[in-house]
Amino acid sequence: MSNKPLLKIEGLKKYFPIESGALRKVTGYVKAVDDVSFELARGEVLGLVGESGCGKTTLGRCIIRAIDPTGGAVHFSPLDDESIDLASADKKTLRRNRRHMNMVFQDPFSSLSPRMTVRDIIAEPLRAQKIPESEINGKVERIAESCGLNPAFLSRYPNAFSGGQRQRVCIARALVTDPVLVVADEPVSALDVSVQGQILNLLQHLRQELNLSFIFVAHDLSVVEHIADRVAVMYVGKIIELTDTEQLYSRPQHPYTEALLSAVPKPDPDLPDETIILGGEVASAANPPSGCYFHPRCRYAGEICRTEAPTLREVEPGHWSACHLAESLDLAGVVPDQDD
Amino acid sequence: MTSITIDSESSAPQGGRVLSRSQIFWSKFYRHKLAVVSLGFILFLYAIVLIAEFVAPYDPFQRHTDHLLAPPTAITFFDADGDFHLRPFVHALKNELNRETFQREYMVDTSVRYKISLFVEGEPYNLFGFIPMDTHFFGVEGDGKIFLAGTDTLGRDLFSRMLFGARTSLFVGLFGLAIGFGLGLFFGGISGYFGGAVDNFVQRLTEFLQSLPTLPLWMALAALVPPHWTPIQVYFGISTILAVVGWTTLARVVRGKLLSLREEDYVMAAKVSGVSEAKIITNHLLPGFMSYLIVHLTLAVPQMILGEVALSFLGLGLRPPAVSLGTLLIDSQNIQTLVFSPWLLVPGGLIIIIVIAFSFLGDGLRDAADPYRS
Repeated sequence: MSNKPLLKIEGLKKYFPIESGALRKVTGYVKAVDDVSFELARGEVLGLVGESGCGKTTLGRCIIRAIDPTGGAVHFSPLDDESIDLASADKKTLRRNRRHMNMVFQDPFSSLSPRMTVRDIIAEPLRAQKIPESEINGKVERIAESCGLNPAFLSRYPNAFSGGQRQRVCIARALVTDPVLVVADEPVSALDVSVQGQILNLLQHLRQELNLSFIFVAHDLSVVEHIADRVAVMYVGKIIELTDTEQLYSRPQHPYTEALLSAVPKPDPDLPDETIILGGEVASAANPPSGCYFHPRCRYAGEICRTEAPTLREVEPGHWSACHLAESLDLAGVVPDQDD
Repeated sequence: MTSITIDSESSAPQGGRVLSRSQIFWSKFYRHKLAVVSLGFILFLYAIVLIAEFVAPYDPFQRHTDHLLAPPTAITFFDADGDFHLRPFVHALKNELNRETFQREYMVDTSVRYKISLFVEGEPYNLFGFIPMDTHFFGVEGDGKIFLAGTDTLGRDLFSRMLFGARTSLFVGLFGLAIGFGLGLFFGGISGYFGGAVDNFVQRLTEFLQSLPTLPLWMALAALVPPHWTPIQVYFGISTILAVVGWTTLARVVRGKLLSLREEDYVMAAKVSGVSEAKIITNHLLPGFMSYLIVHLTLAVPQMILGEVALSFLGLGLRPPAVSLGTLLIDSQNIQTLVFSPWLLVPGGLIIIIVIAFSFLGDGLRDAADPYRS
């Protein structure tokens, strides 16, 4: 295996125009994803966290080119020797490379067509890649079984399945072409807690078995802790911190991450409540504040935060943070679980 | 398993037989008895109007000058003496002047009996326009006349004319429907699929057409139909008129459906799986509103028929001598004749039955088309 990263993202942007008036004049842009760069190694699981509307779903969709990014590059090397830029690839190249990547959606109800049998749904990516019809059935049944679905039920329609089973169908569909990259957009947030555990374990298992790389979008930090090797924290379209999962949870280097971590519910009610309540509102991506986007809500903010926008820099080896004061602050993380 | 089971296909025992989509469709449809009856009636009606020359006892333009405004002929099995006859028969009609009211009245002459026969010889005609025949499905022997729905002011058999009129009306409906359906699908399709400026233009056009008052518009457009056109050309004109103003609702719905379906996660899932645009349209977008289209088509046929009837009744559509359900009703505009000859309204009754049958059929199809939408 080469050292070349599977995915190298450079300055990825997605701006949504704001139109107003009868003539639909563009009066501004919502910068949903603003100048995001990072790398993803082969076999790595990157957690992407942040609160609602911070652009994590949009980022995931831009990477896999479900929507067209406004700018930037996504260098994708599914095989060791070749590398393509997904952000600018033409339709043909893109379609040819679709089998190396796929996506699992948040809502297992709306992401399965109610008018197709589960067998046809799982087979769809294979048919799109013009795999001979004779091979399709075998592949579909094998992947369905790996995902914990009974092949006897494949000729049913999605309405006959529960939420957890439907998510297994979605995962089977995403994995049927043996991809190397899967963008999982909050795959468990629509499920019951007990089912969440099952699906996470399934993803863990499949990841090892198939040597998959995941970009795992989530808003639930405890879910990410369970599955991710590294975690990127997003705030108003930008990555503000990126490091190993353990490092992030124990020694965060950005005040926003500290606040997020403090909000994770603690299982012991006798522990003192140290939740940091952030004042104000999430900054608007259409009209962000000057300097650091987080400064109006940051309790450590100084003069430089108000005027100068911080860049994502490596404050420690393998630990990137977009905070001017990262080195001078001593931020609190969370105590790792006992069973870890 | 608990004792409470949900009554649907989805709760079939594990590993049980799974019904295909069309099996589910028809089993749902058959449960709607009125829709099944309506479907049968509609098919029957289309079948007999196609062979109207054979089914009708007389030519629609044949004048029975001795029987102007004759009432519907009574068919009986019992003669004047009360004797039963196995074959039904009709009596002769005599036209006499009532000395008290000075109205011309038809008297039944019970002394003469004409037996009703099947497959009798009558006026020669060309079935489907090219098979020369002279056999009619039913008729009476000898000089007798049978007018199941009476005759009009010129002595033409109303029942025969109704069959030919229904043929025109039913097929004008279909033709107009095809035009309107095409226009609606096209404009709604490009509006929803391309969006942006095209969408804006189509939506404003739709609003403009919808804001036009219908009746004056019909009148203006009908005035454009040249008077020297043959009846066939005229009803092509009429259907085009009805379609040109009638596609807007369909276009709106198609656009809305496309817009909402395009945003569905499963469409995005297909896209990221590498499914081509054409496949996405045929496999995901079209099936999403196919059920709506079927129902829309079914319910649009009676609207087209009513539109043609309304235009013809107002004298804007087909004009006599062309025969349609609308032109037949023109005769019933005169209250004087209507009072003495109420049977002139019979074509109106047929229109009502046709419209209701289509409505029931549409109901049944709607229930059957989307079994999982509860």
